[in-house]
Amino acid sequence: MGRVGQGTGYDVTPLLSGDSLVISGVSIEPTGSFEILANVQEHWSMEGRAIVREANVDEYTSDTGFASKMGAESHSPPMWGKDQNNSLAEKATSTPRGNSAYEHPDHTYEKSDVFGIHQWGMTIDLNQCTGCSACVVACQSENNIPVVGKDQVLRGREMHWIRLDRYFSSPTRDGAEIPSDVQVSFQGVACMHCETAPCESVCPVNATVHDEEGLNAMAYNRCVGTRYCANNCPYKVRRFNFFDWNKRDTNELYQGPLGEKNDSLVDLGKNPDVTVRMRGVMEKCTYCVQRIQESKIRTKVNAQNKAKYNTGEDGASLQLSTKDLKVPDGTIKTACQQVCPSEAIVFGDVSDPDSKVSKLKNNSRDYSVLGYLNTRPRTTFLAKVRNPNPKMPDFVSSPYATKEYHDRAHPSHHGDQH
Amino acid sequence: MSEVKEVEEHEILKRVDPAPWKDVPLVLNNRSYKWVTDKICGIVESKTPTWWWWCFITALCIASFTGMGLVYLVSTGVGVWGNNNPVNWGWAIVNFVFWIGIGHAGTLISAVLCLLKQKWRTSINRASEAMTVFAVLCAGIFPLFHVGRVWFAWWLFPLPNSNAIWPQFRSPLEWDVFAVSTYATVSILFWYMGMIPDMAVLRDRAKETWRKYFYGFFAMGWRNANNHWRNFEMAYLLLAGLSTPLVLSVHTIVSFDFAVANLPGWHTTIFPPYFVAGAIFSGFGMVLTLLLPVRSVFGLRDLITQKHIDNMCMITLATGSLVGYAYAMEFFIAWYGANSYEGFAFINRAFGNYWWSYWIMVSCNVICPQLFWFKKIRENTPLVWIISIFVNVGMWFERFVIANTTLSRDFLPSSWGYYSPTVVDIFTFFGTFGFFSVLFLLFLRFLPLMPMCEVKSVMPQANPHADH
Amino acid sequence: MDIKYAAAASFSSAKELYDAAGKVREKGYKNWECFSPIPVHGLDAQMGYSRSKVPRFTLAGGLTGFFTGMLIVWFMNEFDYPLIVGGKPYFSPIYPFPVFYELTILFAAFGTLFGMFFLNRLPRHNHPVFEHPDFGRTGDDQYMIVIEVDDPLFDENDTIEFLKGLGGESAQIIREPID
Repeated sequence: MGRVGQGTGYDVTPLLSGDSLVISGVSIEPTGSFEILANVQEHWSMEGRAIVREANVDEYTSDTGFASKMGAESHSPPMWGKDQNNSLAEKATSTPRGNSAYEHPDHTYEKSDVFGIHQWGMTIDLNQCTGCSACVVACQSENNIPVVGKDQVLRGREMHWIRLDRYFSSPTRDGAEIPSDVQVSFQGVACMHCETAPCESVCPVNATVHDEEGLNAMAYNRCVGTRYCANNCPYKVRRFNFFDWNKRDTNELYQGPLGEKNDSLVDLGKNPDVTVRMRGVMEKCTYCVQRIQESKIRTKVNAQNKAKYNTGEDGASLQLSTKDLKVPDGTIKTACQQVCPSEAIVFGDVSDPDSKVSKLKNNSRDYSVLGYLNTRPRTTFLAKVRNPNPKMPDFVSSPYATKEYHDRAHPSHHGDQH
Repeated sequence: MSEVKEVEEHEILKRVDPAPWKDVPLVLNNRSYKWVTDKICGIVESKTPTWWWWCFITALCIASFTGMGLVYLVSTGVGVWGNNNPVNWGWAIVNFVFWIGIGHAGTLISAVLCLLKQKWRTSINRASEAMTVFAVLCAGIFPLFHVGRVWFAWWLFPLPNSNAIWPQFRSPLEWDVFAVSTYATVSILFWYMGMIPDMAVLRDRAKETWRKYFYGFFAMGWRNANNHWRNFEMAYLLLAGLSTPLVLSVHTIVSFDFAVANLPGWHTTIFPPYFVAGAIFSGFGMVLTLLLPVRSVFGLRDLITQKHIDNMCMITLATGSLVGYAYAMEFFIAWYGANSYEGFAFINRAFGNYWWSYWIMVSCNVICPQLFWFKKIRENTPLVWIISIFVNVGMWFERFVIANTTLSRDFLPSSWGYYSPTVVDIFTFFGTFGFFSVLFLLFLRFLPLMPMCEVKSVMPQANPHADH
Repeated sequence: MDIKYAAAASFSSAKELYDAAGKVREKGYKNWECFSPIPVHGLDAQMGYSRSKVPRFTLAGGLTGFFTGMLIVWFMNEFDYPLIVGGKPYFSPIYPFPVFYELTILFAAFGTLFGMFFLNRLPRHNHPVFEHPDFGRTGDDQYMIVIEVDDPLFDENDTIEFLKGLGGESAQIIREPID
């Protein structure tokens, strides 16, 4: 029994007898006691908010841009303002002011030594996502995310950097109970790496800042642990190390320095490319920055070798062009992207108009969750299109989630399609 | 050269006999200066009463809860509190704002009422300033210790460090560092400066050697000379003038901890005036809670009169009504602004998972102080004391409602979660009341609890132009 | 062996002190002081004092605080280590407001307090006037006028008579004992 499994759950092996795995003639009685199940998501409803945007195939064919017409940003002043129609690459590299109250500084750090030649972005196609949670597991093993144990999950302190939100929507809204007739929507949510990240502005010690390639960088050794960034993140993707998850035994966290240290065998399973965080430090998805850095370094080494071979020059006198330093599209796969069975997650360089991620972002189904906050997230979603069979008895003309959204957003147009 | 000119009596006074203006004296029973001096110095100079020892020991025991809670917190991790994702700030920041808010009444009484020439402030301003200093000390515990790595908290100061990174000055927590440090320092300076003449009086009356040295040191050699008074008065007025924008700005900056964030229910421009009004409200509640017993125990009814209590109750009523108005405005704007997230945030406050805290807040903050409209209630001192306690309970719940309901249910419903305080949370907070009491009891024992020079200034004998 | 320091007389009300002070000034004395438990209004003008100079220290402190605040923020967030934070400008005069405002008030308060000490020549824990046997009552309910020996018009008998004539009680010479 491992450290997490100990004392958790119930052993059913006594039920097995003999060779057969099928037992007949059993009876079930209530015991009268309750068992609390640990759940990472308590609330199952989207509350009529345009978080997962869906349409039926007919609605989609009649209006391919339906996703942009939902949500608060469809009814509020446009965030991009006069720069609305700039290309994706321009928006990613020049940080246009749009309707912001001030000019944004050049976040490619163009005039400094650390000029960002890529601008990383990601799309998650909600149509492809099957809700299998492979991304969650892959991220956990790639990034040394600690296991916190059942008690801590019950308190709401799970550490997963990417989470799979699962919403139920139903035609009858009764917030108290889970309704019987539901449709399910999945959405994988990780750090959106917002261009104008709300978390960065509130950190008092500059522990989270923007790097030259558009990543929201988290400096663990600078973090003091005020947790203001986690409060200000509207997506709630930041995770705080409330205890020494990595150092102390999961079952003895509350004993602090008097408790046992963790089995060193667990340390051997960690990814050596990624820092292991101590308590009191905030962490979140980094777009697998260790993989990005590795690819950039290899590309640069290749370019250096090639240039040395061609010119005979060496060392600092080598002039490498941006073209040679750019990592080819598709080389870097984040851990979640790598394991996704339906290739729902695509990561790449949005300053390159030919990259797969840029092409997907130009798709009409593309939208930003909570975009009206002008966070300008680099991770955008492609809206889900459902294709129910019209001949089936449970056919509905519009997904329940969309109906819920319209009921909440336009209560006076009850029943109308927007 | 200022000479008082004789004013000619107006013609009309020869024909009409005006009704006498009922001027309520600020010091009752025609007391003399000597009575005032003996009364205040007597409290400091007499033997320590037994009740003081009982209160002090109890307060020390309660204060130890905070000490133990903090040691456990720093050694084990923030997880010993109830904080989680999404409610990353639980009781800690609520307690911080609660204590800072209480401090603001002292500065208001000392500084703002001084600028407004309210003579009645003189008998309560020293004790309220002491309350401010001690409340700020209690408040400072929380933002310092709620961070994950307390041993690096000094990084919030603009000091060189091995990371070679500087603080980020757009963050309201960074602003808090400057605001709270400045507030603590200026409050201590103002409080101390006001005490210098009284320290000199105690020094001159002192019989034991340790008293002579103790009060003599802090009196800095004050001689009651007019040249001294001239500079002292000017400095006092200037510090009052500096403290007024200070008290307004400090709680504004504290409110920015919430207002600058983008969360529904937090991101609103009403917070600065709303928080300042609330702070004054809770501060006056605490002033009443502290001074009404002190008045009875030390026999200060002639110095803290019914007029003083009336005025304090009326300020409590006014600021409580302002707070109630702010609640109503928040609701109105949430509806009027038609932002569904904001609207939900307010309905959730009243009917969601923390509905009980909301209704405690409303009944204590909006309904309770309205009782002060009635003179019969203002004259019933024990009842005023009970209402003042409810005021502070309500104001704690207000900060709880603001912080925790919004964090618990914000933009994405998938991250909604509930926060409950743990035993460590609770004991750490209640221990700060012990800590505050320890400091206040020491103040009552060793320092003059009223500014004798200021109280004497508002007595009729102080007027150099009156016939007596 | 004693050194004479000054002649002193006590008064029992603010009005008496006020009137007496006017007459002492009219007589032409220059090195004299009034002692009172409270600041008596109008006494500054009666004694011929001008406005206190503490505000100059306050202003100096405030300006220092303001520029220190602005300098700290500009240096740290724009000059020395500019970092992109939330897409916000490196430096603007708006966001450092709490910093420079609080530092202005803090340094102005220091200027006020230490300016007051400086102008009052404090701390000075020993002063000849403390040798007056009833000095303590100037903190309680007595007022006192003290005319120093250094004053050009000082004459031991005349000054004492003059003070008695103004209504001063227990007029005497303050002597400072020398060891």
